[in-house]
Amino acid sequence: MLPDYPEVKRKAEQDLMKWAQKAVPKLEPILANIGRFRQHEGTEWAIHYADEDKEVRGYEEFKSEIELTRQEQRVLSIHRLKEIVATVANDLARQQSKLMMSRIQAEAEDPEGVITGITGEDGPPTKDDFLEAMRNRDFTFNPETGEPEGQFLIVPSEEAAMRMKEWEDDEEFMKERERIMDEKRREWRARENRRKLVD
Amino acid sequence: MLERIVENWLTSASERTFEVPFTQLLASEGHQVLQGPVHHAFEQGKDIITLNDDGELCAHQLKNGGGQLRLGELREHQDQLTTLSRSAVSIPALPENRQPDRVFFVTNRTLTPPARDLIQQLSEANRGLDYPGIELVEKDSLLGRFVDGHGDFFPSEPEDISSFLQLFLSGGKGELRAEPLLQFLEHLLPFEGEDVSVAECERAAAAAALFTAYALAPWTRRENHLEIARGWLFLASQILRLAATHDVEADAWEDSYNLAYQAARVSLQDLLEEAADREDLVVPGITESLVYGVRALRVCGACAALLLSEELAGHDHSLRADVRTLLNRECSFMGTMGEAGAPLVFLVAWAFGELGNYTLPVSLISGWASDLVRGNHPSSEEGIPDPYHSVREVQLARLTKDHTFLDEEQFTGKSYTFHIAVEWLARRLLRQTTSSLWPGATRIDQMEHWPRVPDGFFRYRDPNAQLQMGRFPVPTSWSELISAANKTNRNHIPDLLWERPELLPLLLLVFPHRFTSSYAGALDHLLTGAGELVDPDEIQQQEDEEEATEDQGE
Repeated sequence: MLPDYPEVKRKAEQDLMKWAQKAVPKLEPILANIGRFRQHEGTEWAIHYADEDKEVRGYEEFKSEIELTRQEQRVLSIHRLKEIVATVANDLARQQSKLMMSRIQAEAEDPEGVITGITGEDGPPTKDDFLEAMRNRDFTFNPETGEPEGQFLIVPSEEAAMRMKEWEDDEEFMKERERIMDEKRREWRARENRRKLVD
Repeated sequence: MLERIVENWLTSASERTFEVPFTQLLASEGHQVLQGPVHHAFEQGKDIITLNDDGELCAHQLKNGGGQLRLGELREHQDQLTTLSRSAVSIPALPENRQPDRVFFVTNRTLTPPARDLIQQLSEANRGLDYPGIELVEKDSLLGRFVDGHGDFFPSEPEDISSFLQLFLSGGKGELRAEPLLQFLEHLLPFEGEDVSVAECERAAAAAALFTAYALAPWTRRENHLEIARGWLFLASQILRLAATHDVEADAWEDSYNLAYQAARVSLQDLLEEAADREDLVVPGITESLVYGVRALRVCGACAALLLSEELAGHDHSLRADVRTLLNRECSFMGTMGEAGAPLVFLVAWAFGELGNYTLPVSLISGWASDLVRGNHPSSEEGIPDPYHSVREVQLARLTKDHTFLDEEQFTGKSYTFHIAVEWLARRLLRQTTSSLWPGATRIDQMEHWPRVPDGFFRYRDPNAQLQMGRFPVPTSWSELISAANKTNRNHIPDLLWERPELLPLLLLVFPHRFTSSYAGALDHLLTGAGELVDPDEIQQQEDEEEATEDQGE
């Protein structure tokens, strides 16, 4: 057997993998909003709802591969290794983002879902469609800044994003949007005031 | 190699540390243990009393030490030897006092020829007066018996030998880590396989007890009582796991289990005696202040667990004064580091209740809950780590600059013990105290792992466990909270523990992550009468039967 340095390799591999895991939310910002935890036992989890309903779920596996030639294994620098591991991070980010989008899609199509899907009757959603969707959902706000938080808007394309940007030039639209947000702030405060022990 | 390990251990074992494995050895050789190894006030020179296979009453006196046992030293014990052989045995297990049929002087040393002559002379004198002769058991014969006692149960895989040696060669000053000991026991005890015989379980449990004694040798030499107790509690838990896995009758494993439990109990008594006797718990060092709070919590928690266990076992109240002294002195210094410390906080709270102090428990539990609702609030920067990270692990992670689990895991927004504190307060109708935890309480996910009962419960990590998550509803009804807090699902605790309630407080010293709502509810009910134990399966069955009866009526 040739001499080896298993401790060094193990530490380096661990550090590279941790670096890749940390990079994932930065590569797909939508994932940065998702909380994380480690499940220490078992592979199933259950959510207990207030109405005593319970939902049991499992986990999806994500994996990505790295291929290195023997020649590469002779010469790669740590910098170059990081670049290669970055492709793993990108791949994992893509897989997780894809799964998340499919779950969002399913939730948006569910009439009782917590995600609001904005669709137009014949074609892309209009300003009125957008405002109506705002009226029909709950918002949360930062108690200090008063700004909306914990939500994000996912648009299907660059074109759609640009179209929505143009809406901001419409004074009437912006006024109505602000009016709805003020109403939503009042609703949010009322909900927050219910976070108490009652009889 | 086994012989070298046993010899190494035997040479340095004191009487106290030798008692348990020697008792286990006797049990493996067919003796029925009537007394030992817990010390009793009126021993009359008899450390261990048994009935052998032939029904003979045997009394054993243990005398350990280093080097050869010479005549002069033996003469100092001559009176004890006389008492050993000439006084009747008077113990609850015997219907009436009686002379032992056989008497043994057991030592880990080798006697010099003159010392052996003295034993011979005493024996002849005894026989002349119709008393039993004194049978000598020395180092070499002990060594052979211990080696034989393991039978086929010696680790053969390199990983298991490595786990065992990792323990055997430890310094003994630090915490006894669960992983090497449990990994070793995992492979020694026959958890796998379906056709495991009762005899195999019995032999395996006995061998496991002997190996645990050897593995704990470093901590034993240091008299690190808490870690010795934890080692024996790990063994006790794995014996129960064996019983649960194969549904084995108690005869096959109860002797070994009882020895482990008694050994833990004795070690905790030693811890209490040492801790209560001191002015403080300082182990001098320049960085001592960084660890003192955690040591105070662990020692107070362990002694509280002992007190509560003794109560549940119906033992006498002789510990109370020392526990009171210790808790009153050290309570204000207790510091937690992670939710792994939460069970200890609760144990101390219950102990104060047992001692008649009803305000401190509320302060302790509400303080813990406040720390959690603040520390694990979603907007908090760094949450309080979950109970799957030991106190030692959390301490080290906070000190080191290396990447640790603190970087990888998120603890904010969730907690494993917050809801347990809320339920504890609700059972005591402390609405105002509980209200102060709202609205933050509604922002924290309550987490629990439910292992598969019964065998998964005693696994350190159960691959079949299911994680449960939930939140307090908005708004939260106080009356519903009380109602839920007062119902404990008894099916979440294995029957093996219901049959041994004295183990419930002690098990938390080694399995803090098993401290769930049901576990806390069970302890609260057993200790204070709070709440009730319910069997949802039974309730469901009754409801189904009522429904069926109604349908028939219609």
